[in-house]
Amino acid sequence: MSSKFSGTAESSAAVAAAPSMSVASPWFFMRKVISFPALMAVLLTGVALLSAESRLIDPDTWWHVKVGEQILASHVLPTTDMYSFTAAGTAWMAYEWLGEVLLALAARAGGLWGLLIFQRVIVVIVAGLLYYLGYVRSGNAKAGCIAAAIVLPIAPVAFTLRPQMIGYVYLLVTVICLEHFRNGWSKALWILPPLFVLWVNTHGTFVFGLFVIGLYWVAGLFKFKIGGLVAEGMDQRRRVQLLLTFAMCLLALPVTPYGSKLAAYPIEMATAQPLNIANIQEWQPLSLGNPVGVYLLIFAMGLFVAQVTLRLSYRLVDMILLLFVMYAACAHLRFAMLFVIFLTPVVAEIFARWTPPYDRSIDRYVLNFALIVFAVAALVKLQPTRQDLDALVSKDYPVSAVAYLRNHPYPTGMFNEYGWGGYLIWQLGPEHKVFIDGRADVYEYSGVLPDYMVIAGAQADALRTLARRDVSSCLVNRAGALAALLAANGWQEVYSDELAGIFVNPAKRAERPGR
Amino acid sequence: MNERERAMVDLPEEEQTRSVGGESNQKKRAAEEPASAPVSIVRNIFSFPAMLGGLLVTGVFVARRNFDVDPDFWWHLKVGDGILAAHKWPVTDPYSYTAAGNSWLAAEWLSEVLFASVNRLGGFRGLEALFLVLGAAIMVALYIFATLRSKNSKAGFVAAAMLLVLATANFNLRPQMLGYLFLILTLIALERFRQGHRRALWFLPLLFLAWVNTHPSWEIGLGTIFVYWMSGWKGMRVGGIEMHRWEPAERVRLAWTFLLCVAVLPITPYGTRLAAFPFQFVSALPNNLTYIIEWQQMPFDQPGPKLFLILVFAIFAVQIAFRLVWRLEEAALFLLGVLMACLHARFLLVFVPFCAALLAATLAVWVPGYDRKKDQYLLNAALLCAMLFGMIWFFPSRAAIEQNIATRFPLHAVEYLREHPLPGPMFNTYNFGGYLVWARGPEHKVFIDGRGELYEPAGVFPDYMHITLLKPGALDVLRSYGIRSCLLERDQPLATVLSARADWQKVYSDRTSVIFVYEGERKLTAKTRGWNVATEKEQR
Repeated sequence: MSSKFSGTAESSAAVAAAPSMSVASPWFFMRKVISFPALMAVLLTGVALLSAESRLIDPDTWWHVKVGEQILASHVLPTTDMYSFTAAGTAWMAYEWLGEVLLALAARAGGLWGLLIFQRVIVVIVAGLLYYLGYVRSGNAKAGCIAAAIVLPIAPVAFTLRPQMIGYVYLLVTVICLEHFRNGWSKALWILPPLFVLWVNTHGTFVFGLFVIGLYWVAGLFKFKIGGLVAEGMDQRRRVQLLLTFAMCLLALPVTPYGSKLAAYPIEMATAQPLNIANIQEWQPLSLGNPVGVYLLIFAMGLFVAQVTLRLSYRLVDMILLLFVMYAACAHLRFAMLFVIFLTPVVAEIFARWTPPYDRSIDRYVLNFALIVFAVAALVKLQPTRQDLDALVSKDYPVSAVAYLRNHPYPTGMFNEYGWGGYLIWQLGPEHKVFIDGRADVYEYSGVLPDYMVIAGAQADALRTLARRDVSSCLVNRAGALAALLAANGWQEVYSDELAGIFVNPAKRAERPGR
Repeated sequence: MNERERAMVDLPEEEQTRSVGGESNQKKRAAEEPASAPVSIVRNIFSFPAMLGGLLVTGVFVARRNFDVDPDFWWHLKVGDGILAAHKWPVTDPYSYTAAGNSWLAAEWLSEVLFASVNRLGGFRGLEALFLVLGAAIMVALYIFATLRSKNSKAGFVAAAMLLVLATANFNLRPQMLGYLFLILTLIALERFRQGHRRALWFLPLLFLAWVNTHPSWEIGLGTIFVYWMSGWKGMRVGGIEMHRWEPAERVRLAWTFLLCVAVLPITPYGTRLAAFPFQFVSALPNNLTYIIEWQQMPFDQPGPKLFLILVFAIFAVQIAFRLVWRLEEAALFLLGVLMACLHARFLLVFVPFCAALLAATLAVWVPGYDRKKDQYLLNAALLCAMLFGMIWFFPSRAAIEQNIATRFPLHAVEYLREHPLPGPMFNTYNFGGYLVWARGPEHKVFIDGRGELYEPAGVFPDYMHITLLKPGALDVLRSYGIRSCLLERDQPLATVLSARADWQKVYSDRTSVIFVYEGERKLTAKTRGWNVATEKEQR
């Protein structure tokens, strides 16, 4: 949308952007900390943390942590797979190694509890950056807060303990820098090249960062107004600045332990991993069977109604980004976070029409302070305990089965559920090799992924495929079709609990453990 | 509009001319297509707009000539056949042994009788012709509706052609095709009424009389009439939404039409029970809504839904750029169509007509109108004849149709069963149930078929899911029904499990299906030993 700053004092502060503040008294800082905008930030954080409750652990969390631990212990980055027996020795890179190291450090500091704190910190940062982005765009803190609060319930899809959370933080920083640049603060672009050095080593979302910078530059070539579509144009000096920044960000991409291979990985995934994208859950399309999907649909329709009735104006870059992320979020649920990031400033500008700006003169600092203290205390109280975390893990992962395996080694070549592979790596690897885990790229290239789908789907060739892969035991979901197939075929169930079962091929039971 | 209403219009004057629903533009467009002297019927038949209609019909033929029927088609056919034979409407289930005698009504009996009649007259080829006729009728009606709305046959054609891909992907020889045709006819009637033809509504009560006996989608039609009625409550404009007030007489006429349409709903062989059926289905059948594919949400990773997204977003972008003015009823129905299609993929065919008006009216801003003076009647005639000839030439043979059926339904397995009667009761895959009902019912009873409203209340549907998903105890559930044989899809997990079990014997298998017979416990031990021996041999 066109930048429309609705307030006066607030808009001046936003337009100035460059934080050339004079040295202030302690009371000045204190007022900032317990101001109404700060209260809104705390409440927004609460919304974000409550939304993130259910999304702590992802099946991939475990192997990310393990890889990070391995890097910290050996000071060497892996170049081949060491965790599976089906793709052992296959070329593989830890393409999110920096994020994995951070996760491993959090795990070292406090185990599951440390990981929880890490996730909460990232969630708070994301919420804060969204708020700030909405404020920068609209010039209205209240509108920024409302916008962030409205879109945050869609964000939990990205709040799982994986390097992608950090990638989205970097994307938010990039967009904020571009907004500051657009508002006249050119130095904001200096942050980007070093940011991209970190980014390319953390997560593949750096391609979106490049895309956004490129789009801002291309949009700056045009100056027109067609109906509600506005292209503001950029003067040549600013276009050159942006182009140079883009070029420097590109130059930052090979600055990785793997050279330029990391930079090429996202494109490789998009073009050379069709099975991964077609079958792995995080790549599945938007699901309207869950609240996030319904919420996103209602949002999109609300935006449509707002457009028709309010005759909103959009900047060219905003419209392109909005359409792109809506399509991307529908096609792949994992991109719903992009929708959150690029929708927030648009919604903030809409709400700025009706929301009066912050007026320091009527602020109630004492009340704010009390509410902030209460909110923080409540948020701390509502955080899960260690027992809650353990229960959360036990609900979805074969905790007891793994404990059994430690005490009862079984013949090598164990088939496992895809979603449990990461947990097995974390608990028992690299000595215990898995059949498959969340590193779908390794398994797709080595042909393991199609075999896994045949076996897990209990298709006609399932048993033959198990035999071909030299599988002698299986750790499977007891309620799944494969468990029924194994039981029907004479495999012995040597362990079972409410979640998992371990089946052993009697013919191979006598083999020695270890590989 | 009065002064107060005019004051609500906040657009500069040049933007008001972009009103695709506005009176000013309608008059302007009417001027582009000047009223002509009466034209001969022959010229109308071979006119350019008629040729465009022929293209749409050809598009339907090309897309759907393969007799790709839905699993439910078969039991619809059987029910219709049963009604024609017995001259009675069923009130209990005659086709299954799991819900035998349970209360059940043929909620779509009129269309089922139509299908059965055509089958009696022309067999599969007759049904294929009916399918193509229905599909063509829907697209032609859509074209007429879009043209009526935009007053521009080219814009109407482009809109219909753009929606053709979405529409044909969801065409299926089932009663819902007639339901969607009736919906478009309702929209045509309402549009003509909107344009001043007072008598346009007279046939709607008759249409609803047929509709309530044909398919439960009549409530969408009622909802559409209501939206039109409410949208004319007062005249005003809010941003890009325009409301044209009905004249008092028009409002009364529309209200009476609505009430008459409601009044005919109990005129069915089942009284008011058919009218209540759609609401019962939605509220009392959660498993159906969860597990049956057509009730699931739109799969956005498929090409058709991606095209749907592109279309919706393109309309959004055009609205931003050109600040079009839309009628309230069109905007409301468009949004409703988007919502319904996203929530349940089967409602994509509801989205299509709701989108057509808006799309055609938008395109009419840029697409030039039809100019009769430039028409090439001979060329049009030649093209139409070529299309007709092509459709006749490439019409599928009975053998081709049967071959297509065999790839999806157990045609050969049923032949085997006729020659080799097997012990019952027989468990069958859901997708095969309808075909079994048609091919062997009612003498041979099925475990389950597509009549979800029957099996879910009877508790059969949850058991079916338990068995086919191989949840713990699945085979016990199978045994609890006393199942002695199974007709399954070849690659489904249950077939793999039964293949591995000694107490089940595979007696038939082809590319589509497989049949197992329960042999009891006696072979269990021997079979297990045999598998281990085979495995050892492979290892050596």
